[in-house]
Amino acid sequence: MSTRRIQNVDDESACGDTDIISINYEPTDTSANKKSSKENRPQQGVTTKQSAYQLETDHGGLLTISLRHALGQEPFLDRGRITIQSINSQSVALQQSALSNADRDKLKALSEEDGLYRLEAVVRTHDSKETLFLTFIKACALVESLMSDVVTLSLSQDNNIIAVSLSTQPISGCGSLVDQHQLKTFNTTVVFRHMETGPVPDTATYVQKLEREREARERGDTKDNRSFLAKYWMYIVPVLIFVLLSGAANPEGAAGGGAR
Amino acid sequence: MTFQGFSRPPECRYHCGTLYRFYWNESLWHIRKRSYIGKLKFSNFDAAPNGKRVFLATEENVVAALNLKSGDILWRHVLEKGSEGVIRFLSVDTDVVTVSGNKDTLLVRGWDPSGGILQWEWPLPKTDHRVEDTHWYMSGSKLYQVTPVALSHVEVTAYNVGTGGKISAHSVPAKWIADTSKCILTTSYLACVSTTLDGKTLFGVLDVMDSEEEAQFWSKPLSEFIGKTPLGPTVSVEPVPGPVPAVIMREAAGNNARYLVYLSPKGPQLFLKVLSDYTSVVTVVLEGQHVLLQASHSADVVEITAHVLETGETISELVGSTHAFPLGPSSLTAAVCKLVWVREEALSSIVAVEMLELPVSDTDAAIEQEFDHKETGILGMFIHRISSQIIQLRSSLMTLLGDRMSEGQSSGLVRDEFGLHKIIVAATASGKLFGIDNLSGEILWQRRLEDAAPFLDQTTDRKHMVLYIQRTTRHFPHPAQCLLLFQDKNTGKGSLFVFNPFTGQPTNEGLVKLGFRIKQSSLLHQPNKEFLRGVLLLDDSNNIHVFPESTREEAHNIAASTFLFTGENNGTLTGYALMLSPSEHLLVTEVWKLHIDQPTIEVVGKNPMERVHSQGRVLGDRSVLYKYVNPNLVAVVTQAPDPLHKYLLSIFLVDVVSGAVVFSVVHKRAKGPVHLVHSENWLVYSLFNDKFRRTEVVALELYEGKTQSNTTAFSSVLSPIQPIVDRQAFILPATVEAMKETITEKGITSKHILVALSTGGVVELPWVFLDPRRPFTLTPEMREEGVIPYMPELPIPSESIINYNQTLMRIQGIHTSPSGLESTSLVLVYGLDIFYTRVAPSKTFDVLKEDFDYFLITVVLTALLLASYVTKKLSSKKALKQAWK
Repeated sequence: MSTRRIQNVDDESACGDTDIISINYEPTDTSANKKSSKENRPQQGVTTKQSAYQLETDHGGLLTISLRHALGQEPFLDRGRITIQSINSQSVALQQSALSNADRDKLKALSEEDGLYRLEAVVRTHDSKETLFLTFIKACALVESLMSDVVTLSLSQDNNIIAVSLSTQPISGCGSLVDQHQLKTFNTTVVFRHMETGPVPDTATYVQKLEREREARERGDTKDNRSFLAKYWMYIVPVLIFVLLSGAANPEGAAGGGAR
Repeated sequence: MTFQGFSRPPECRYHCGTLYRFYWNESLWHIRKRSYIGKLKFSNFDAAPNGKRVFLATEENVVAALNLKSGDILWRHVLEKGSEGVIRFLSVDTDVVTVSGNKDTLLVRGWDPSGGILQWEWPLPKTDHRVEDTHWYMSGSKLYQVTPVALSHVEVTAYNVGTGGKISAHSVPAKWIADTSKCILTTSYLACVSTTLDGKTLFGVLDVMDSEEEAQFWSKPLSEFIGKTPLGPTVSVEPVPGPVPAVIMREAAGNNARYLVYLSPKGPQLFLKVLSDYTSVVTVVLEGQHVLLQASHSADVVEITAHVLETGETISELVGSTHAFPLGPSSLTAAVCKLVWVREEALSSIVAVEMLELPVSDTDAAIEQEFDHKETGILGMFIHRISSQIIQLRSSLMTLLGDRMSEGQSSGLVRDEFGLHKIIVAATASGKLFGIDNLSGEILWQRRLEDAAPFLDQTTDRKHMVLYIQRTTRHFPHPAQCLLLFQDKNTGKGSLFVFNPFTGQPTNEGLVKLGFRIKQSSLLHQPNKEFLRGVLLLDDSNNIHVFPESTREEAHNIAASTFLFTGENNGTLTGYALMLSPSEHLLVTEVWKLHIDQPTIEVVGKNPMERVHSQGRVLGDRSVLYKYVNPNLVAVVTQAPDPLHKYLLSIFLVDVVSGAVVFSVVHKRAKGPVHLVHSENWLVYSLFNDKFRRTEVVALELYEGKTQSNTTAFSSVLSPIQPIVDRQAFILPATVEAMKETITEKGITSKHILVALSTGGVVELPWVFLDPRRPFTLTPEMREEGVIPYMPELPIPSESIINYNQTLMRIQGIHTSPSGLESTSLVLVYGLDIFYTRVAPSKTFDVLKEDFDYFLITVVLTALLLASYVTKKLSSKKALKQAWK
């Protein structure tokens, strides 16, 4: 049994065999923003960040998620518990029991016959409202990733949990040999996924853009500062080709005439 | 020298520049429109003595006039949608008068009978009484509004129909009318059946045209004139159509005893004890006598009998009059002796539609068959070859001799070169199935399914059936096969109907009544040895069924990779995995469950026929942005009230295999109706922004990133990836009724989005306009990528309206289907009207232009060939001459 305190680590790659369990607190669009900023779209990054901030503000209270797992068609057994002090402060405590030897063998067998590892999560809010969620992964994916799984908590607009889904770090395939001893303790990462605010037609920026263009036109600022060649190459090139062609054709014609 | 060539007449400057007018010519033969009016509610003949029209009001809120001879629509008006436009009364005098609306607004409208022009319109004053209880009657220029008020009185108000002025109002005391009593109006008589507290059933009649002084309710216990009353408290009363006051009383539950009561001037009298097994009754006035006509419909014969109401005697001869009878729920016939016309009004309520390729011709089939037999030896192959060639020879001889082909081809249902000719299979809400030729619009076959009812979505009130293509026409000699899933009207349990889509004939299984309610169904992706794809059915106690039995083996084979999901209206989604128990029995296990806790209004997946041709998008810097193409992605739309923002509209993208919420987005102060198109790696939806009071279209585009996670196959379970989501919103200056993307065979052609507008147009919107990557300032890189700069408002150019001037009303949906040509997509728009056309989103790049000059090309080619031959000769001659020099 191990209780671990969670630190907030931004980088996804930090979750390995270290004692720290990372929380990817990303409002998921930050990754999109990283990409999109390269693609010259600064206006979107601003709006989504604001909205993510807005979402965080209205929630407090303790959440406990009790986890029970089932190996194949077996009944659900207790696996552990996730305690979330508050979604705002992102402090998460994990309490998970290690896999017994019998269960480990079962998991191994299940992995070989391509069975499913199912997880039942009962979320209890501070006002003791209980909701049952169910999720699964392929048993072989759990074995292959050496028991490092990711529990994703999808949150609704008012920060209620709407989905608990289990996944593992991406693996290439199943069937490689895994040492039995590595299948003992769960190395779990908890990820929160917030809801994003939908886009609205950006009329203000567009009007500003039109305004700017109009002003520029009024100031006569549309001076073309490209070089002479860059501006008129489309006229120069045909003339050049024509000159070259007639130059090349002439001696030939003269030669032909001479031969006759 | 003068330029004589510029001799354009000066007036052309004005004439040539006038409005471009669209001419409906033969070159648009591939566009078809059929108009319908919907399920009949009221009908009335023309009041003019030699009028050849019938006026109708339907449940689709339509007022229309039909030509009695041909059944064609003379004019049609579609009133307001929903309860605001429900037609409650129709009467024909000098004007066609309708009363329509709900309890907030009731409008009286007068229409010109010949042209259908709205002559006048006025609102009825608002009352507190239920609008369903109110009755209307028109006599001359007076419109009577009759409202029975329970336990108190009956209010009778007369209005001047043309101006809306109140003429008179009085109330007749009638304390015996209870809340549960049934009242109807037959001509000017109000007839009520009411059960009093002591169990007695009273029958009362009031003439609403009586003045205040003489108005009096005539009421009597029902048993007094029906005899030993077998009618209990559930008796219902309905009017008999026609100019004579008469009602039919029947027991709502139990025995089907019907009683016709004639309300003669002397007082109500029972006319017939038990009416024969009739379909319709109508009253007429013949030579001053009140006559009852009964039409009983059995097989193909309509038998009509007539009785004089006053005396009860039978009339043996009926001369010189035509009367309309509504027959069945979906067709309207006007005939005494022979069927004159039929209108298939069921087609105004299509709930499931598919387009199927036609089978190949017999000769082509023979050729295909030849290559099917691989196991036969050389001799067998030789015999096949010879026999097929004999068939070809015979058929070519027959065409030479001008003989018709065999009956299979006589209908012309043979696949054409470009696969543009298809059959439309449509299932309708009334349980009638149709096979329609897409080119001519002709109904090839129809079949009525007994007790069939569509599934009803409780939150959106949308009706649907499920139509699966189990086998296409590609597997000769097996015929194509379709399966329709629906529910039984009486029990609510599932039923299915298996049929040949080209004839409508049931196959061996035919109509199967399943003994359970269907929760979810899915078509197996693996066909059996006969190329038949089975259907998985999940019942409400989570048992899985395979249909037909012959595909069970395939279902067992793919059980491990098959997942199902169900969604409930409260936002609970559940995923199931299919498993094979040790006893070789299929069962499902719940594998994921999520609670969105908001009412779901829409669940949209991708078209399973869709192919994504390009896996990525090439950017301006020559790098590739890979698309996130997840075939298991489903968009779930929920709508919830919110104390702060009034309405919240949320979209959840759920991977229905793993149960993960891939992406979710919320729109504040936004509400439905939401129309959603989900295709490839993008999502486009329209919503109503309550804050700005406008329709907005939002586009989401999902990308994996600059590297592709798995190049061979996508897996939801093994390597889930988090997509990058690009998003953008646009303003659409119109109201959306339906949306659909175009689909082509290989997915090479760019996609357009067809948007049906409430104005009756269908706009073809190119995807580039909805691209979320449209930037504000266009960089050269972006320009190279082919992205256009962002503009908040989407244009609706009139030239991109694909139905031109053919306005389509009450569009329910759009169905798109690929054709044999990669460039072309076939489009069927259905609703009150049915409209068929085809679109080519990237222009017809694989077809020669219509004005392609074959003659010129041939001439040029032959001339070139000749010239080259001649010059070759000449040059060899010249070379010879030079050699001699």
